[in-house]
Amino acid sequence: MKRKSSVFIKFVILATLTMLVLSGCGSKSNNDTTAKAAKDEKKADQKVDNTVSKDNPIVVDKENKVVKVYATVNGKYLVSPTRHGLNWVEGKYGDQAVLKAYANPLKFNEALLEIGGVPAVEKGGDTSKEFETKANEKYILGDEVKVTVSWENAGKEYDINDVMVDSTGQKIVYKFGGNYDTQEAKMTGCYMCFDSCPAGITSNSTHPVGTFEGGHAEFHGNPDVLPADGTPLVLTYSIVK
Amino acid sequence: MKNVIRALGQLIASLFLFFLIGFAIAILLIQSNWLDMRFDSEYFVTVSLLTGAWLYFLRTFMNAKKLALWESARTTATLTISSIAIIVYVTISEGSLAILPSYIVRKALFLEETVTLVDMNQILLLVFPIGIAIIIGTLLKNKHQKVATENTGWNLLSRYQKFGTMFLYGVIAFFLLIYLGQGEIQDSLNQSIQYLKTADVEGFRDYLHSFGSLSAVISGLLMIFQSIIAPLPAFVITFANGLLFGWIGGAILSWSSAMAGAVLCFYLAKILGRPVVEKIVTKKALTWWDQFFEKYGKHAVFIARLVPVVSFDLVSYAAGVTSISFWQFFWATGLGQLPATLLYSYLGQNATSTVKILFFVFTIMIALAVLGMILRPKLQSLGKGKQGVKG
Repeated sequence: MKRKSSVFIKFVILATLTMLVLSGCGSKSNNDTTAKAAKDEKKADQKVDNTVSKDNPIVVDKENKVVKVYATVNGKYLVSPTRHGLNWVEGKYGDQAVLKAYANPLKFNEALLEIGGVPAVEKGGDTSKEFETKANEKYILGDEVKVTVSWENAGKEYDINDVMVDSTGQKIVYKFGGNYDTQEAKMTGCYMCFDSCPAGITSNSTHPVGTFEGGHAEFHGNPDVLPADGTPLVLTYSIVK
Repeated sequence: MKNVIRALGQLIASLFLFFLIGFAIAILLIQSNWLDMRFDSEYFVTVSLLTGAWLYFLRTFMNAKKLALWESARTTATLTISSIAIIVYVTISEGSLAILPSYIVRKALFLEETVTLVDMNQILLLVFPIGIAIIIGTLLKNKHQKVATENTGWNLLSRYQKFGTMFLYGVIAFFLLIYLGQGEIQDSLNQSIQYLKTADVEGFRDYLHSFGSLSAVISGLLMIFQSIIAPLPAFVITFANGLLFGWIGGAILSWSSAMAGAVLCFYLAKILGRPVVEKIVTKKALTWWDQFFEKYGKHAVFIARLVPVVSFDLVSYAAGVTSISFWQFFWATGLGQLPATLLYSYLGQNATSTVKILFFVFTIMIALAVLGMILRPKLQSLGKGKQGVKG
């Protein structure tokens, strides 16, 4: 019994020491990882790739003040209605948009800021100033954003209004809502919504909040213009001053 | 060889029939804009195919003839014709015939990255006539074949067991459908599993906190979920409850939800029976439990609950296939899990970092193991005494 007790005491001491060493190693390896990540980030910053692709889905051209975003066509919403124009595939509503994006929407938000865009709600900003109220309807504020689309063999840059269909026939006017905090918390994946939206980075200021939900308008991609499901395309964003 | 072809024909007939049913439901649901913005109805096809496979399994291996819908000419004809009519009518009237059917099937089969819509359309053009031909062929074969009603497998189960088995499948299929189709729920569940797997108590506390007034309900549901299906560490939930609701509130919540989970596992085991429980907890674990139960009798559950290294869920499932009564199981579980629940909740409220908590858990486990060593001879003599009395 005495021998067993001494073995156990030794075991407890050994286990305690192991835990302390492991926790020490854990924090050291965390530090190492953080340092390595910072180094990698620095390297990535130094090497700027201007070609937009699936692996490099957002490119900021500060000189020409444009943001280029890689996306692919989602065939379903060429024939079914949706309220999402472009969503990040890994977001909660990644499959519900006409176009699929491949970068986190927060990066898109940062990219628009980099080309001088002013959002309705900045990071940590006041959400009560996000909308303009007209006849009890809420319309998104923020800088107007011009959106054009092109793809291989498209032959030209299409305006967003040429490739999307609004059942009411009105023109889509995107505004830079921002919504960094909401997007960070909810990660719906929304880049471009077809009606004013408290979560999308940009949304259509022509229609107030709840237009699609209320059945007042329907939106879908234009199957006569947009290429087939899965085709890669590039969206170009610039701020209208 | 004939039997193999016949079995294969039956399998394809069952899968194709359920594929059509799921397909028609998905197409109808997609017509609702409200639902389509919140739920990927395409996964109805996935779950429907699984249902076809499940019923085929019951028919083939348990002789559940009544569940083989594809063997009934009237039912098969009605379901096939109405499903195809819905698919064709909706897609033609909406002008989506070339896109929507192939999109739905491609997504339901998780082939989005590998198959184009054009290729999928060609596959469907082949699959539909072949599937229909096999269904008709199977029905004609069945018509000419007399099947003896044997009193085996499914027919030997009581009504209670049949209902339980189907209900359990229904619950699993429902949760699978919700998990696959609802992005927010999938994301939330993945997050919680990640916190539990990495034993990130503070992260899990914040996660629960994000549900506001529903945080206690979510905590309880996750505790029950992990008891039944997922082999995840429940102590992280208990710690987080202590951290979020205070040690008394946390302990009450953890204790009651763990009890609910244990009771559910106990009854599930009773419904499913020993062969299925053996598949869930492994034969080795169940044999170990049998020996443990034989040794300590009624006290086995209580002792097992006191030792933290013994799986809580395994004990609940295994107890369900022994002769222990519900109330014996209930009291033994309730009292046995009380010390650890109180201790973890108290530590959860007072400790601040994951490492500290892991350290405490480790220490408690060692302390209990030492206690076990000290009490072992007494417990053994108690067990022997019992065996002596029995003998």
